[in-house]
Amino acid sequence: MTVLETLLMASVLSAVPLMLAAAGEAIGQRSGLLNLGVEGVMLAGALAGFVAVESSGSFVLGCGAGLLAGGVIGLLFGVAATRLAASQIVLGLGVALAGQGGTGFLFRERYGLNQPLLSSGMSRPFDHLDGVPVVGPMLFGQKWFVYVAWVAVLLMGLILRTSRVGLVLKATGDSPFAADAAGVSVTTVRILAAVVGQALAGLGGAALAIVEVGFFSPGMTVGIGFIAIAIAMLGRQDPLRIAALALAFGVLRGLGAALQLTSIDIRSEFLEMIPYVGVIMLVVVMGRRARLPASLGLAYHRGARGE
Amino acid sequence: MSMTAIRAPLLSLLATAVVGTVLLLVTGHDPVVVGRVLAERTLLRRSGLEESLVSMAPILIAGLAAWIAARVGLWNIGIDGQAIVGAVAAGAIAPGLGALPAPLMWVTVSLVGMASGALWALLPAVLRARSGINEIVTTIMMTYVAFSLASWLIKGPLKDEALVAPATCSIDVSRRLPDLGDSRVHVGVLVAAGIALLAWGLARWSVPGILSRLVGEAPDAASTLHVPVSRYLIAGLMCSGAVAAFVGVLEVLAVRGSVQGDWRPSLTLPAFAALFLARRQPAWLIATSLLLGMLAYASTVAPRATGLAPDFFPMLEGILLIFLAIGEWYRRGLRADRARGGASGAGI
Amino acid sequence: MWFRRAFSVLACLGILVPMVVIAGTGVTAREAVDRVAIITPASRSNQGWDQQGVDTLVAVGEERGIEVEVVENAGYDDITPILRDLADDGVDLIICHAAGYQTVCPEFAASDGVPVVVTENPGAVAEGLVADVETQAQEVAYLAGVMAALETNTGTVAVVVSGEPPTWNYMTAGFAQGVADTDPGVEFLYSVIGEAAYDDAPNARRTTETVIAAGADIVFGMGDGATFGMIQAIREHNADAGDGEQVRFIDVIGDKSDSDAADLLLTSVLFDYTGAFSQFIDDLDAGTFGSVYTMNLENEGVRLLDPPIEVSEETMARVDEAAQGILDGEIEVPAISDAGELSDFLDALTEGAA
Repeated sequence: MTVLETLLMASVLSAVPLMLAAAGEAIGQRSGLLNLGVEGVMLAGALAGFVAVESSGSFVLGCGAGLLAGGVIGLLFGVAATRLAASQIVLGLGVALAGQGGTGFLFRERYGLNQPLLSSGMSRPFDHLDGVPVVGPMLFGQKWFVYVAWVAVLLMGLILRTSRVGLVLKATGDSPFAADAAGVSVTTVRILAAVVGQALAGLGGAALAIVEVGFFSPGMTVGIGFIAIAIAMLGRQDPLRIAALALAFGVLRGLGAALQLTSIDIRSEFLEMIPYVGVIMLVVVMGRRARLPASLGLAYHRGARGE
Repeated sequence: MSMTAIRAPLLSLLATAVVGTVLLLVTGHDPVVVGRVLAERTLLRRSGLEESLVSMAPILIAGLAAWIAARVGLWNIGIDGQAIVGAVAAGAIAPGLGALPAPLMWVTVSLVGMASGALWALLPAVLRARSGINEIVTTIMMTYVAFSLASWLIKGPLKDEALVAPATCSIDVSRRLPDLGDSRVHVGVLVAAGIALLAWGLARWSVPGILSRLVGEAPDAASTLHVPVSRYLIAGLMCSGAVAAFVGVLEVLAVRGSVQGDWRPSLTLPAFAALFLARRQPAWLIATSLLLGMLAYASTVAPRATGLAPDFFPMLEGILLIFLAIGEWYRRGLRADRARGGASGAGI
Repeated sequence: MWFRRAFSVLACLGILVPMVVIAGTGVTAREAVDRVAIITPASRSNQGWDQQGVDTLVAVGEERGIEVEVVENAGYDDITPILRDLADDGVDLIICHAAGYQTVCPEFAASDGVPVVVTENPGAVAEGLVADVETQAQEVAYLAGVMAALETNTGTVAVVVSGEPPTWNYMTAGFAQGVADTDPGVEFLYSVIGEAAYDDAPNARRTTETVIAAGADIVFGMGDGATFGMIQAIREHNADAGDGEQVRFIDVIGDKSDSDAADLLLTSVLFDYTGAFSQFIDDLDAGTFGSVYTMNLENEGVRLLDPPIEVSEETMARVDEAAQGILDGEIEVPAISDAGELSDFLDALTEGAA
């Protein structure tokens, strides 16, 4: 594989955890919930997924574990944010901290000083077709989860754009009072959005551990959770845009590694900055037109005076 | 704060302690032993108390930075980046100011450091005030850029050639902030506490202080009253950045005398934890930062004494935050939420 | 009869005289060292830098009956609280096992009087208080470079690092020189994963994939925790690649030949602190503490791990030849610790070879 082919293939792969987490966060944001704790949820999903695969050998089980871990946290978050009217910012930061600390703590308790690695990787179903130049490995050489994830996110994007589900979600986020008046249970919708959304984030974390890297180590997300929040906002809570942004981010990250090998003599620290500066530039350019759901981060109270 | 208002944070602390105890039991540690070791080392040993105070200072200052931004309704998640920028600026000019008498050097370095922090917050501030672009995203990105930039500067132009591992030139111990008595607690701790009290006073009694609250809670009302909301937002975030940078300044002037190439503060989460535990009151921030400072100190010494992984303590902090959020007292925040209807932090 | 009495008198004198001499000279008649501590930034579990320091000290401690206190995961922040805590507990020596502790430990030693060992900071050495460990790993890295140049099938070798601390830089330069001296036609790639990316495994993996794609079939990886990411990348590549396209890995500091990575390990630049730590403890006992101990090829503080895979006799002969050359002083391996200097050095090498 050439460097370009590797870059493209790695970008598509490394976009997956980010994309899943951002899409999950976006679902929550659409309904009006802002969860700053995605980092913690991803780590929880990563640990759960890793332990599941390590003990059972089944990657499917690993994905399920990631979904479950995220879903449980999502439920906690959703209920707390709606029924208990807790501050979402505080909750989110708490989840982030507890997630980071908790996974590190539990990992050490279980594995002590060992660093277990997954012995076998996921299979690649379309391997035989990857001879196509440039785009071959990127399109056909991926592990099966990559395809599942991309399809799922694209499907989600379509559903949210065209179906009633998407509409209800949007209404709950933009004008909860109107939605309530129209008979939608804002609380239920938000809790469901939280569960589904954070389950996805958990899955993203699991993908990081079992698909991309092959092991778990404390703090391995290195800030991806916060970047997912940024991408969810930038992508205006639309999974299709989010997928594109995540891919772009993945390419920019990989670019740093690739550029180092060329004769271009730029210090690695500057190459490292590329993705983040890229996001800022994107924000400046696209920022004006986008907007966040009007009730993002606010608790909904039935019967309170309307907007 | 009234007695009822204290109830919720106390209950949260209690609930957290309970959860912590359960976790310890489940994983086979003896909670009594752990508790005793912690109490002994943080409270009963002089070095523990001193180190807790020293750990408190950065958390307190970062908490103040978070508070300033939150006051005008902004969430400054980029505190770590601003701290690094302040540290690098301080580490860059402090060694060169050898001719100045120490107190003058401290003031100069502090001003330059804080100005750098304010500058680092300028872009997110303007983007938010002028174009409504969410500051959570921009401040996070600026932090990552700050890390890379700092690495390059410390490994390159600012590197101390006499040392092997990259760090800025160290200022001599005699020129650093003095300690209180013969303890290890440096004057910076008092300065931080002083800033907290100053902030509390300004918030209560000064016009900008009061108006900033209006901007934060009801920006539409504020602009109707011809309060320059945009200016307050920019000033608020920049002041927040300046204060956050002071953490970095202290690292150079008091803690280490220089900045290491791999120094990566992670104060943002503890800052918000301290802030919310203090019910967003700057005066109470002093007490809550001390508590979190003790937890931070505990996480460095407890592993050796108890065999607990250091991650245990950040986990407890997170659980504390979750209980706080759920606690009864936040329902009082409802009123502000209802009135807001359009709110802070929204709008890209 | 008389010789028995003479013997006992002589024996008593033999014990008394040294004691009087020691007491008389006023040299710190320390109690023997019985508690030593080591502080590491990350965890032993990374099977690298932190593990080697801890495991060595524990082994030395067991051998001598000395109690060892281990503080790991201390991070890169201010470790003074930990130093004080250890001092309060009465440890006799603290080993500050990271270049990042280079200023805070000497300062603590000066203010609190507890002897410390630092690394890569010879300027801080102070009698009775501060000793320093230098690792001249570039000599052994040179040998690894010789091996790599001879063993590569694709003609391209790569160095992947998780940061540019002095310890890594010494080795990168030595390795590059070894490759260039052995076969100037071999292409040399250098890639930095990130700044202080010691735990960034996903990034390590991506970077390693990239250098493999660029043609490298031998990767010299310095990553601590991130090394596992590099290993996974190589593993996956090897699973799909043909026999002639297998990529092999050269590790640093620790010995992973017992782990899952064994089958792709070509060799490793091992750090062995036994000599250094033993010397320091002896010095402390003797009152001569406060020197620089340089771990190098000669004293086996650094050595090449025997390659587990069958490497040709010819290659090993060349490596031994090079080793002898270094020991004799015929081959001079550059000692470069600064990232900027390293960059210039590497540029000069590639230009020289072109």
